[in-house]
Amino acid sequence: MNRWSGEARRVLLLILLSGGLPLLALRVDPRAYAGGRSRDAVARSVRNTSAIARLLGELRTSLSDMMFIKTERYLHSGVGYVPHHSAQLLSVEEMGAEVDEHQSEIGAEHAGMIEDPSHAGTQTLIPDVSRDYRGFIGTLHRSVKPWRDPSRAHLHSDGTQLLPWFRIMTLNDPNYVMGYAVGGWWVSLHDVDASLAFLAEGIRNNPDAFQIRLTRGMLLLRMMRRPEVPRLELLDDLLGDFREAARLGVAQRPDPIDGLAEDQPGWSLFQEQDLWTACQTLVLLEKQYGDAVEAHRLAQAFLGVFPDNTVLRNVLLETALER
Amino acid sequence: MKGRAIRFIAGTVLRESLRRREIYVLVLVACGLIAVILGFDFFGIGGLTKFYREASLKVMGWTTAFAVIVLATRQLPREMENRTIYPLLARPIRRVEFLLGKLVGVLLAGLFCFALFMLIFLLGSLRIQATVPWGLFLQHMYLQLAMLAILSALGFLLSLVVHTDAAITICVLLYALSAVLATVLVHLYAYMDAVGRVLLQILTYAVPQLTLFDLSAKAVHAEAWSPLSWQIMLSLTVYAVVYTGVYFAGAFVLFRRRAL
Amino acid sequence: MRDGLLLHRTAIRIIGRGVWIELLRRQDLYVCGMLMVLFLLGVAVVRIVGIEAPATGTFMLNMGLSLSTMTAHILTLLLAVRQFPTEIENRTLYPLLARPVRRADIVLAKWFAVGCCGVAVYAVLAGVAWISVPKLEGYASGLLLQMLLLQLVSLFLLSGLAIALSLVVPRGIALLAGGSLYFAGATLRRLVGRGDGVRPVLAAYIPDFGMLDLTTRYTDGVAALSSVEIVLLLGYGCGLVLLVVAFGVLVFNGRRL
Repeated sequence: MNRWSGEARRVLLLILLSGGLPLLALRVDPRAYAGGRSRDAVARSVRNTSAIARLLGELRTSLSDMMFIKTERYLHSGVGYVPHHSAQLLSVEEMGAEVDEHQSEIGAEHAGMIEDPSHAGTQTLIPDVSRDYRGFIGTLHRSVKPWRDPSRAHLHSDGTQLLPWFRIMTLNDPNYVMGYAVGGWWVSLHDVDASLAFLAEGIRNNPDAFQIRLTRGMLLLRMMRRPEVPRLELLDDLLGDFREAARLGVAQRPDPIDGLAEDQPGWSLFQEQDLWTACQTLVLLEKQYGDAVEAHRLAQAFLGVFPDNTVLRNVLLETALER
Repeated sequence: MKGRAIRFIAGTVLRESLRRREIYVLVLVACGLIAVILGFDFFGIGGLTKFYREASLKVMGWTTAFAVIVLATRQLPREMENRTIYPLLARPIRRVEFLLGKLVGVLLAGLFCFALFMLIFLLGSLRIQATVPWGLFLQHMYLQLAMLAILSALGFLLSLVVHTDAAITICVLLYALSAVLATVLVHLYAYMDAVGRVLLQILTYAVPQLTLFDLSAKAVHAEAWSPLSWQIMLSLTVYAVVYTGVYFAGAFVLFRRRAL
Repeated sequence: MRDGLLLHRTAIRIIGRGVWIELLRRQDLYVCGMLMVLFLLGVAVVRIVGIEAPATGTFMLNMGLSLSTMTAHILTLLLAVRQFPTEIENRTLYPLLARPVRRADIVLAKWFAVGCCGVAVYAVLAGVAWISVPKLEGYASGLLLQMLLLQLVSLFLLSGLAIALSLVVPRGIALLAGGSLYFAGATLRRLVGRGDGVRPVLAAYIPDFGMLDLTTRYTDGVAALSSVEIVLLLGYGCGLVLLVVAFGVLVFNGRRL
C-alpha cells in the first residue's frame, strides 16, 4: 500500500512537472533573433569563397548553409563550383530576375538543361588536371563526381528540383530570411498561391524581415500585371506589403557614414538596393493607384533616405504640379 | 584453400548477423526515414525526384556502412571474448580461410542490407513515378560494395590492434570524412613546401579515398551524366582490391601471430 | 537519517567511480583522444591556409565549438546507452543490487557520472577550439558563459535521456533514438508543432537540444540572453532532465531483475 502511494506520488509529481514544460518551451527560443552572421548573405558569400571553405567542400555546421550550397549544386547539375555570384545578385529584385531568366532558358531550349557560357572560367572545387597533383586518383575523382572542365559552359538544370531544400532549410531554421525570399521566387514559378503561403509563413516567423515583405509585394505586383487577375482585389495587399517593407527597412537602415549606409554592421549593398526598390515602388504605386498626396509625402520622406533617387524626385515634382 | 570452409564461416557470420536483428532495426529506421521523405508535401508540387534520390541514397549508404563497420569490427574480438573461436579453429580450418570466411560473411550481410534498401527504394520510386537511372544506380551499388570490402578489411585489422570502439570510430570517421579528406588534400597542396607536398603525396596513397566509391551525386543528377566507362570501373575495382588486400594481409599477419 | 544520507552519497560515489573506471578501461578516452588529434589537425590546417577575412574566423570558431558540442554529446550518448544493458548482460549489476543501495541511487549515480564525463570532454574540446581560433569579430562574453552553462544542462539531459531509453528498448535502438533526438529533435518539434492549438504544446515535450545550444548565437555576434530568458531556458532544460531521470528511475524500479 505504502509502496503504491509512493509510486502514485512520484507519477503525480512527474505529471505536474511535465505540465510546466510547454509553458517554458513556448515562451522562449534563443534561436529566434533577427539577422546574425550565419544568416547574413554577404558573410555567407565571404566564408564560402574562403580557402578554408573550399577545403571543407560541402561540410558546414549550419544545416541551412549546407542546404543553400546544395541548391547551388543542383542548379549546376551537381557540379561544385567556387561561389561566383556577386553581392548585387542577393537583392530580391535581381534574384527574381535571375530565377526567371534561368527557368525561361531551360524551358525554352532543352528538356530540363541548358549550357550557359556566361560563367565559363569559374573554378571547380575538384581541380582540373593542370592543378591536380594526384594523377591517377585525380582522374578517378573527376570521373566519379559531377565535374566539367572549368573552361566549358556551365550546365544549368531545372530549378524545380530545388524546392524541397527551401522547405527543409526554413523548417530547420525559421529565421533564415534568405531561404524564404529565394524559395518564394522559385515556388512562384509553379504555384503562386503556394508561394504566397510560404512567404506568409516567413513573415509570421520573421515579422521584422523587410525582404520577405518586399518579395511578396513584388510577386503580387507581377500577378497584378496579368490581364486575367482582378487588380483591385490585390491592391490593398500589395500596397500593404510595400508600405511595411519600406517602413521596416527605413527603421533598420543605419545612419550613413560618408554618405554610405552599406558595409556598416548589419547592413549591406543588397539590403540597400532592396530598400531603394521598396521605397521607389511604393511611391510609384501610391501615385498610380493610391493617393497623390500620400505619394508626394512619401517621396519627400524617402528622398531624405535616398537623395540621389531621380524617380522619387520626379514623382515629387509631378505630384507638386498636380496639387 | 578450401572453398567449403570459407562458405561455412561466411554462412555462420551471415546467419548470426540476421539472427541478432540489428540489421533489421537499422533497415526499419532507414525505411521510416525514407517513408517520411516520401510523405512530405513540398508545396503540393510533384515530380521532385532529385531530392528523393539524394536523401534515399544517403540514408542507404550511411546505414549500410555503419552496419558493416560495426559487424566487421566486432567479429574477431567477440569470438575471442566469448571463446567461440576455439571450436572453430579446432576444425580443419586454416586461419586465412577463417578470416576470409568472416570477410565474405560480413560482405554478404552488407549485400543483404543493400538488397532490402534497393527494394524499398524501387517501391518508393514507383510510388512517386520517378525514373530510376539504372546504369548509374547499379554502378553506385557495386562501388559501395567495393568500398564496404575496404572498410571491412580495415575493420578486421583495426580490431586486432585497438579496442572495438576505437576501431569503429576510426572506420566511421574515415567513411564520414572521406569527401572532406579528398578536398583538403587537393587544396592544401598549394600551401605546402616541398617536404609537405611529399607528405601529402604519401597520405593520398596511404589512406584509401573512399569518396571515389560514392557515385550518388551523379546518380542524383542522372539526367546530365552518363554511366562510368568500363575502364574507370575496372580501375576502381583494382583500387578497392589493392586496399582490401593490403588490410586483409595486415589483419592476417596479426591474427596468425596471436596466441589463441 | 544522517547515516542514510551518507550511505546514499557513498553509494553514488562508488557507482560514479565505477563509470569513470569503465570509461578508462573501455578506452573511450582513447576514442576521445583520436577525435582530439583530428581536431588539432584541423587547427593546424587552418593555421597553414590562414584566415583571410574576419567572417572566415567566425566560421572556424563556429565550426570548432559546434564540433566540440557534437563530439561531447556523441560520447555521452555512447557511454550512457551501454550502462545498464552491459551490466545486465554481464550480470555485474546483481552484486550492486545486493548491497544496501536504492535502485534510484544507481540510476542517479550513473546519470551523474556519465554527465560529468560528457562535461569533461566538452570542456577540453571547446577550450582547444576557443583558444586556437583567432577571434576577429565581436562576440558577447556574457553569452559565452550562458552557452557553457546550457551545454552543461544539455549533456546531463542527454545522459538521462539515453539511460532512460536504454532501460525501455534494446541498446542499439536506444542509441539510434537518442542520436535522432539529439540531431533532429528541433526539426521534429517544429514539424509536429506546426499550426495552432494543442500541437505546439504537445510538440514541446520532444526534447529540443537546439534550445540549449547557443553556439551559433554566440558566433553570430548577437547579444547575451536576458536574465528572464536564461532562467526560462534553464527551467526548460532542468525540467526535462528531471523528467527523463525520474522516468528512468520509475522504469528501473519497476523492472524485474
